[in-house]
Amino acid sequence: MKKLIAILLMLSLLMCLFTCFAAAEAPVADTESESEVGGADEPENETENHEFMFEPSNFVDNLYYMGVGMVGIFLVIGIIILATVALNRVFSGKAKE
Amino acid sequence: MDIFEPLFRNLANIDWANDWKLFVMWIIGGLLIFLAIKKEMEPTLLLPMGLGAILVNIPGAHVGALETLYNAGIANELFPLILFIGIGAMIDFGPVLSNPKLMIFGAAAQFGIFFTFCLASVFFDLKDAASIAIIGAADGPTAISVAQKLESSYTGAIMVAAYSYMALVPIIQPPVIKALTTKKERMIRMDYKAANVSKTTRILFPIVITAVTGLFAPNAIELVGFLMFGNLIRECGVLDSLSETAQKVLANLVTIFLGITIATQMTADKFLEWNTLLILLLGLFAFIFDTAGGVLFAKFLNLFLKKKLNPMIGAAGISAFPMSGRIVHALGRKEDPNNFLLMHSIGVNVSGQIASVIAGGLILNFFL
Repeated sequence: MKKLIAILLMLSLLMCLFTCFAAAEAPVADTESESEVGGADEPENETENHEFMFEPSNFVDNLYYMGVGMVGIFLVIGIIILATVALNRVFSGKAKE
Repeated sequence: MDIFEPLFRNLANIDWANDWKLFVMWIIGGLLIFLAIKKEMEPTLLLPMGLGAILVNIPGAHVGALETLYNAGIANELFPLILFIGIGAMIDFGPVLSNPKLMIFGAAAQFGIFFTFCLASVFFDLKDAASIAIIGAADGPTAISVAQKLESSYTGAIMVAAYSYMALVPIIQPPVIKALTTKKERMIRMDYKAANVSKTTRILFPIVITAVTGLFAPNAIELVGFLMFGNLIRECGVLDSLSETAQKVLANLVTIFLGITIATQMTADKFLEWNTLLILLLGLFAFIFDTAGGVLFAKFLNLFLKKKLNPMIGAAGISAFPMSGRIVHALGRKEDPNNFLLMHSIGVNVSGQIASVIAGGLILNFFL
């Protein structure tokens, strides 16, 4: 547990350092596209993506998605487990492997 | 000397003040190739990605073929879906069908995806945060498919992170597992009784998965459908040649195209940003919290169970198949050479493949 906390603290420190560094930099609006091999994704919002964003409140606001997402996965997997158990009960030994 | 002018024209046109980033990408490409060959880390993908990164960052060069491949196979998510046919054909769901309860750990080990989403939303908008979080699915086709559908601008970094961390699972997981478990817990033995799984069950299982997942997460129907199609080809027993083709020729062919085409997103202007470093960090977080989620869930269940589970099997719920399952088994044998966790850990690992696709579908449900 101590090692995990240490690892997490180090990673958090790295992210804080990154945050401080990036926040100190002016946003860069890159209107030129130097890409010579384009993809289908048109970089319509490319200028926005280069601007640094830091909204700590989003972490708490989006916990809703974490809750609903985890409940959703457990629900779907739970149904799959029940279906599998039912399949095993109905078809056990009725067909050769 | 004028006769040599065409030969050196491109070199003369290099703007060293601005084009130095291209050469940094050469170094990154070289690093990926080194990791693939010397360290044997996911060579099927890192090697083509490495060479592709060098190709697309040569000053003055235009690799139109890669652009064509990108539009034909990545922009419309076709290559990952075809690859999933091959992956489905490779997977044996027998251990999971013998003990379906193990699938619950596959669900628990997707915790890292949603936790990383919350963390990433501090720095990125919702769609980009969701695309970054899906790195935690530890599944290349799912990560590519979700990032493309959400039109993320960081597809290149996401793909590099997803495949690199999948190769780094033997390094990432063990310290996290050891930090969250005691020696006594790691030594818990789990009996394995091979249940007689009928052929009918094996055939109906992929069909049931497709139907159930499609009803709850319709946006994932392509991913789960192609995965289960591959598995159905394997299990039906009448398409052995197709199964073998899917597992070997098809999977290898698509992997070649996928790897080198992903490199189109690794141009210096797209890749060499501070956001790329942040994405790599967040991807690492996703893997760590996936592992932690699975292990802690197993420990939570042990509070209520008389016959304890080895909590390490929870860590195998990430989709890095079969590496994660083997790592858990190896850790178990390290503590107790007579402890065989392989069938349990592989069963959980396989269920993680299903759960990661469901997680991807739920992410798309939220943000598409």
